[in-house]
Amino acid sequence: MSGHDSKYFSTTKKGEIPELKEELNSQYKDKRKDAVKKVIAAMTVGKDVSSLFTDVVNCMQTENLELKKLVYLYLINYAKSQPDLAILAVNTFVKDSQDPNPLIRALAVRTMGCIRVDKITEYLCDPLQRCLKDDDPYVRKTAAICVAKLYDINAELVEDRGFLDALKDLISDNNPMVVANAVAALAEIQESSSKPIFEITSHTLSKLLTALNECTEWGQVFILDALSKYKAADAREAENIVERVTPRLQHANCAVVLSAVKMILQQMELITSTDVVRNLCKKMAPPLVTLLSAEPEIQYVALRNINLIVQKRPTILAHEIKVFFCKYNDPIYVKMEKLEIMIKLASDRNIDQVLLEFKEYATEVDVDFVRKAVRAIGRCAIKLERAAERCISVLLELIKIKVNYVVQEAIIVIKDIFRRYPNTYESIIATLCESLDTLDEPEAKASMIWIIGEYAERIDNADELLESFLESFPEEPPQVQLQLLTATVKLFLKKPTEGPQQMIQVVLNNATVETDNPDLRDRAYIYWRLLSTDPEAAKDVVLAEKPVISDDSNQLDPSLLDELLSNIATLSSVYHKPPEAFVTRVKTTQKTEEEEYPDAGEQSYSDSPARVAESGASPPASTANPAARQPAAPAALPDLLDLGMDNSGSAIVSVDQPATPAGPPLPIVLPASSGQGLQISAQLIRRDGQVFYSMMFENNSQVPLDGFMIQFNKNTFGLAASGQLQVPQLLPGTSASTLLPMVLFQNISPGPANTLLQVAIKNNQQPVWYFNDKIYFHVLFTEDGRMERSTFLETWKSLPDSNEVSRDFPASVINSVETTLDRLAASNMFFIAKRKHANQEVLYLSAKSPRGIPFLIELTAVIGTPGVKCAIKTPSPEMAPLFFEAVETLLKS
Amino acid sequence: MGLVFSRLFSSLFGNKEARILVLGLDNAGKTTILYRLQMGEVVSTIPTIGFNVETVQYNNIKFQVWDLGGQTSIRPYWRCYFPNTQAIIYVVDSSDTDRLVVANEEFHAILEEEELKGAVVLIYANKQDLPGALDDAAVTEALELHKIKNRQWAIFKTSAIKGEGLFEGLDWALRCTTSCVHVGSWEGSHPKGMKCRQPTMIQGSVVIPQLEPVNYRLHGVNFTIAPKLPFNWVVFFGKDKQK
Repeated sequence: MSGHDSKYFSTTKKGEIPELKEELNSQYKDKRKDAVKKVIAAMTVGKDVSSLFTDVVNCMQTENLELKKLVYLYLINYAKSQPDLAILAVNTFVKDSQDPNPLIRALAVRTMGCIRVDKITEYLCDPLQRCLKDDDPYVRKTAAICVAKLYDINAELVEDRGFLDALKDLISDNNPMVVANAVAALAEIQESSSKPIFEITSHTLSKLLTALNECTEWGQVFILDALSKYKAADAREAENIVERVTPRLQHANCAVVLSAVKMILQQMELITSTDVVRNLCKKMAPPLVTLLSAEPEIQYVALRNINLIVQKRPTILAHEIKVFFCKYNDPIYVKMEKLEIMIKLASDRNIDQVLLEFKEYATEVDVDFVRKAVRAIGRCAIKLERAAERCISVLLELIKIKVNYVVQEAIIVIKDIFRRYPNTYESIIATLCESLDTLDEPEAKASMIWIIGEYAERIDNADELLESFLESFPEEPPQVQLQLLTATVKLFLKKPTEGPQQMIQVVLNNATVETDNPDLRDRAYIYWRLLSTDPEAAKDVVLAEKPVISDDSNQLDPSLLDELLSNIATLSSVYHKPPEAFVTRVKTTQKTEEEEYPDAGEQSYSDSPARVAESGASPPASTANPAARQPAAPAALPDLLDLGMDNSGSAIVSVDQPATPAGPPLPIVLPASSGQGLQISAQLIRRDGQVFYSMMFENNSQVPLDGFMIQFNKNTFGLAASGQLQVPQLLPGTSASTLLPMVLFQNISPGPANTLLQVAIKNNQQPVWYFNDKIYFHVLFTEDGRMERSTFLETWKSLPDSNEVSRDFPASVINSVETTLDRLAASNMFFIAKRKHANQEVLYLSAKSPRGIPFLIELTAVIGTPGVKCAIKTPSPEMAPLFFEAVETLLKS
Repeated sequence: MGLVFSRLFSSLFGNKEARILVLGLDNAGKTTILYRLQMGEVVSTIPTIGFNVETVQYNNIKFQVWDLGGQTSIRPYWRCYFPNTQAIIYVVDSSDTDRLVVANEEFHAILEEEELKGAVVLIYANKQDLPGALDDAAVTEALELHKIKNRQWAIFKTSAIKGEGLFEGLDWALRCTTSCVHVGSWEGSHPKGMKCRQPTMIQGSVVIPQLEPVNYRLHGVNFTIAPKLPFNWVVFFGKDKQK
């Protein structure tokens, strides 16, 4: 690359961000305001302008409300990405929350709630507390919502600071909007907490009912929703509440209407007087009908809710079926819902009208709608016994139109009608058979075949009809194959002649040997055995009387229905699913449970290495209760394996153990309690002439951790990492071990020798963790420390006596010279000679610390008796304390 | 006539404000000083988590005074405010002798900042009203002010509560940081010299940041406002001058 190519890297263009930065720091107010507007514009179109955070925040203290609002908007957007810098905004919030202008106070407290940065939440508590008691209702109502937001960020803080009580006090506020927002906030908090936080008492009840009449429409919705959860003490109280709420039914806002309906429905449960109930039902009908004159989207929501209401209390809309008749220009989703409700409302009284409508729909163009209309006729027939005949005649008329999908749909519902009214309407079978050839949908085919089989004795050419299907047996869908099989068996049992006999052979052969479908094969074999053992028994089984069906499609389970009714006017009642099915809201109780888990995991973990130590090198047998260890993922696996191989279920082989380096467990240097769930165990070890920092990381937090880095502070031996810390991303509940190669004499700390090793660990998710570890001197002893006896003597003599230091280890004991020597040799302390002095053993050893400083050692002890005297001679006696510490550790272990 | 010029001037410089940072350890009295300067009152303060900024008007001159929080957690963010700063007011709690070492460290760290090389440094030995407060000489010693090279600095004994010493210090800072041009006019006989005459009417004043010389041409008269003009320099425009 030639020299002047560097020009491509240095550009004179400053780019947008530096330009904006300059303008934001302009000395002119107008320019600053324009600049903030530009920043907001850039933010809105998706450019990242988070790097201008401080510059924008610096524009925050201004009397200009417009500029302030813009800066606040910026803050809401970017505080999360600059959590550290967000602290710079705190003072301005505090100031603004005391501004003489209530709009600014409210703006400040609202923005505070929107900034979801944990670090600054505690600073915002005081302003919030003030604002909750503000003179201005606008500020109070904003602060009430802010409490709910804060609860979502830090529930504990909200409880500790008594904000919940402050909120409850606000329910008695004299301003209805404040009451409504307090109710909304409490309801929100209650949803994410399992503790009873918001319970309406008879006292608050009257406050709420008073506020209801005065506050805005959305405030009314909050209050009504809260009231619908209130359990009235008796029927009279319920009646009173309902009476106060009924005027809400006339409200123009459909949310208010639906919430009022929900509330009344809930309280109606308690009302015993049938007159009152009838009256209420009468009152609820017009508002519900009015909802259907709104836009199609609102109609749809209303219809979904009405669907539930009708299931619970059909009387409300019994006389209003006409409003559910589909208009030609209704969107299809509205039509479908209307049809559903028409079926539910159809009665003997209005069935003629309804059938006319259905028949009309069945000739429309939209295929799905037509099918549904045909099905609706069938369902009416099943539901209303007296109208069944009329329904069937309509169906027959429709079949005569010969529109393929109408015919098929009709056959499907007629099958159901035959099930419902057996042996009543066989006369129409002939008509059905005419359309036999046009059937191409599996469901329709299967239905037709079922009808032929069921009434085989009355259809003269049943065998021919079935035979026509049999030709294509292998190609038919499973549904049709199953029906064909059953129908053929029925035919054979009813007409055991030669034709059917051959047919049954073919079918059974096809359905057993030729098929891959286990359902079909199983059913065929059952028939086969039945027929071959006892044809009479087969007859009893196959031709047994079937239970009569009823119209239960789309009928909700009563408990589900009640739950959905209590959620009227929410998404839940539109989906017809309970809220838990589609909202994943973490309840605070679950959080506390999760907090307990890491502890349990930690205990069981620190438990098992201890067992390793006890039982030496053999695999540890953990008796920990498998259930208690459930959260620890690695432990669950051996549990399963174990169950398969060994029924005792108590001995669990821990397979995660090999992950840790062999040898005793590493001491914990950073407990999970102080590492926000990250636990670090570490120790310096020596392996193959090299010093390593053996570490184990356990992630007991809730988030994956990655990007681990390590740094060692200056220490006596200048120990430092010689490479990068290799730790993979740690998912919650997992652990990883690593050996970090170390070098010596990198960053030596001056001052007296000590064993302190200060370590800093960071990762991308957490703050930097600092911990202290201990340097064991013996880890540093080099492999070349062995001395010849003569050299030892020479060195001993050459060193002055002032270099000799000794110390007693009264607690140490040498039980066996050999094992002690082995152990010391493993740490590179080499045996030179030994002699006996009275009853004492005197051992001479040598060791070498890095940079070749020799240590000449004399150990004196009585075997098996506590008390070891250690004397050393070395050119650097200042290291002696460290050395003694090392020897003592080695003798102990 | 003069009125016209002064309008011209104020439209050129009228909104321009010198920028002063008030720094110092927590509980040194920065916020109290700020509001004493701005409103002349003692306000009750709470620890500043973040910053306060106020426009202080003194001698017809407007400053933008930034009071930054002194907590350890906020000190790292001081640097966000360093660009374009003309003066630093470093506030020391003279009675907090234990933390003078920390104050010294922070002070010299600030002086090292490249972006503050051009800023003058004014030190307030604050809280002189408290018993046991060190005097300015002792604070000078503790902050090792004698080590400062290539920079204008001054130390003043202050008491924000009593309002003592604040404006004296500010006067000094103003002399160092700004040139103030009073634009006026007079009617009368030939002046003997511009400097020794009082204008009959002061029409306006502007603050000129002393970064570089600025050339102006006003009503046929060329003149240069040099950087580091003495304080309260007066430029006259009169009838005679035009000839």
